[in-house]
Amino acid sequence: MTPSAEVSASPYAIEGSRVVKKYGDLTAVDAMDFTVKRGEVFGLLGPNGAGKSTLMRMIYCRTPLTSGSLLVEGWDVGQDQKKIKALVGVVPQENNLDPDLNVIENLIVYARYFRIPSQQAQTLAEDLLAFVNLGDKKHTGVEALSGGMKRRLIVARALMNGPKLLVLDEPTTGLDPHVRHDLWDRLRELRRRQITILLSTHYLEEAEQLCDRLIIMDQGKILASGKPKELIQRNVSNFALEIHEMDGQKPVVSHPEVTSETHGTTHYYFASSLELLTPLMNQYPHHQSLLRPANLEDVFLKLTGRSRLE
Amino acid sequence: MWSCPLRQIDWFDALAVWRRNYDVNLRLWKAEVFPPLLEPTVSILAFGWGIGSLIAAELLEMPYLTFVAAGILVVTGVVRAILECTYGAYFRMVYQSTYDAILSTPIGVESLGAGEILWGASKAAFDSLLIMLILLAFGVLHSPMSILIPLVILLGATGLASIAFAYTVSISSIYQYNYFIALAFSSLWICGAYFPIDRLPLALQYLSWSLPITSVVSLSRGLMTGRLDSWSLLQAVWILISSLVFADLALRRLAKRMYR
Repeated sequence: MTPSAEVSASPYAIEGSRVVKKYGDLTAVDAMDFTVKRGEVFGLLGPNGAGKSTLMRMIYCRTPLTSGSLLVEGWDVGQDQKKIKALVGVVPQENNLDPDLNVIENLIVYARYFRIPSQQAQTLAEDLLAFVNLGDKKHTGVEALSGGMKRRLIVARALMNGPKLLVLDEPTTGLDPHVRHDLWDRLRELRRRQITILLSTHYLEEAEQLCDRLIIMDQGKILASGKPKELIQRNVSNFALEIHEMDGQKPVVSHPEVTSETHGTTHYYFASSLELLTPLMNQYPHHQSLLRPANLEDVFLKLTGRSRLE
Repeated sequence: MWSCPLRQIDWFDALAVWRRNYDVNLRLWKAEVFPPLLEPTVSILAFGWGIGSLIAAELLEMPYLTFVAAGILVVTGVVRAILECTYGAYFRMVYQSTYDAILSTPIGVESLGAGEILWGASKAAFDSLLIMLILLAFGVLHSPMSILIPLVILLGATGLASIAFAYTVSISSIYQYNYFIALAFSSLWICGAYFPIDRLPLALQYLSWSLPITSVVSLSRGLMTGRLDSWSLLQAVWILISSLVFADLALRRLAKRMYR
C-alpha cells in the first residue's frame, strides 16, 4: 500500500485530526487538530503533564490513538507503523542508550534494526559521530560519557536511518548552557538539510530560537498556535514590565492599552510601547522591577496559567 | 477479531534483537561461557559417581550417571533460559530502557519478544551442547541420537523462557520474582531429573507430567540412551504445543505493556 496521491502531494509531514488519547478516565490528548509542514521546526510547549510526550509517542507509533486520525508523511499511524518508524528518528526524553555496548556499537546495532547493511552502518556511524563531535569517543563505554555527550550520541543514533522527521522530546532538559547551544547548532544544521523537526521543550528561549511554528498546549488541548513572534504579538504585546514582591496587591491598570497578569507575587504589565510602561515602573520605586521586550514565556505563563485556573 | 501474535513476528527483526544480545555476550564470553558450565558438569559427575554407586543400575535400566546426566543437562539449560528471560530481560526492559529504544525503530513488539525469548532458549541449547561435549568424553552419551538433545532443549526452553518472559512483562517490581523463582525452581525437583517420577505419589506424578519440562527431560534421556517409543512422540508434541501457547501468551503480555 502507498499513501494516496492526494496525501503524497500534501505539504505536511504530520497531519492530526481530532486526535484523542485516553488512559482510563484521564484524557491525555483531547481532540487535537494540527499540522506540521515538511522541513519546518515545530515546537510543542506546555507544562508537565500537558500531553506533549503522549502526542509524540503517538506520532512515532509507540502509543495507539483512542480516536481520531494521525498521518505521518502520508502514512496512517494505526496501519503503517513499520513504514512510519523507518522514516522517523526519535530522541526520547530519557536516555536509553545501550549500556552494554560502546559508543559506535550503539549506532551500529541500532542500524541493524533498520536493516542497514553493516558496511554502510559503519561509515554512517563514523560520519554521524563526527557530526556530533564524538569522533574520538568511538570505543568509549556509554556510562563513561557526560550528560551532554549522551544526548549528542542519542541525536546521532536518531539520524542513523536518515529520517525525514526527527522527533525530540525535551532534548536539552538538564544540560548546561554550552551543551544546549551546541545542540541548537546541530538542529539548525539539520533544518538546513530539510529534515522536519518536532521538538518539545520547557525552555521558552529554545522554542523562540529554533521553532518556525509552535503550539502551546495544556491538559491535552491546544491553547494557541502560530509563529513565535505572532504568538507574542497576539497574546501579550511588544513590551513587558515585571514588578516583583507585590504580595497581596492587585495590579493597577493605568491605561486602556496596558494589560496585566499576576503570577505568584509578580505583576506583569504588557504594552505596545515602552512609554506606556515607564510611568507604572516609577509608581513602585521600592520594588525590584524589569522592563524588557515581551517573550514567549509571557505567552506561556498567561495561557497556561489561565488554563490551570479554569 | 482474534489475532495470533505469533503471526506478527518478522523473523528478520527478531534475529536483529537476538543478535544484539549475542553481540553483548560475545564481548563478555569468558565470563558468560565457562563459569556457568562448571557447576552442572561437576554435579553430574558427583551425582553420577556418588549416588550412582548406591543405586543398582537395573532399577533404572541404565547407569545412574546417564540417568542424572540427562536430567541435569535439561535443568541447567532451563535455568539459564529462565534467568535470561527474568532478570536479564527485566534489566533490559526497565533499567536500561533497551526495549524502548528498539521499539522506536521499525521492530514490532512481537518481533522484539520473539528475539528475547529465542535468545534465552538458544543460550540454553548452547550450554547443553557444551556440557554434552564434556559428557561425551566421560562416555555418558550412549546413542548418536544424543545430537538431537540440544534441539529438544531449544524447543522446551522456548516454552519455559516464554513463561518467564510473560511473568517479567507483567510485574512492576523486581521483588515479585521471588514467587516465580520459588515455583519454577520447585518444579525442577519433581520433573524426573534426579529420580524416576513413578516413585512419587500419584497426584504428584500427574502434576509432574503436566509440566512440559518433565517431557523435555524424558525425551532427552530417550535420545541419550537410544530408547524412544510412541510415548516419546507424544512428549515431543506436548513440548511443541506448550511452547507455542506460552510464546503466544508472552507476546500478548508484552504488547499490553509496551504498546498502550
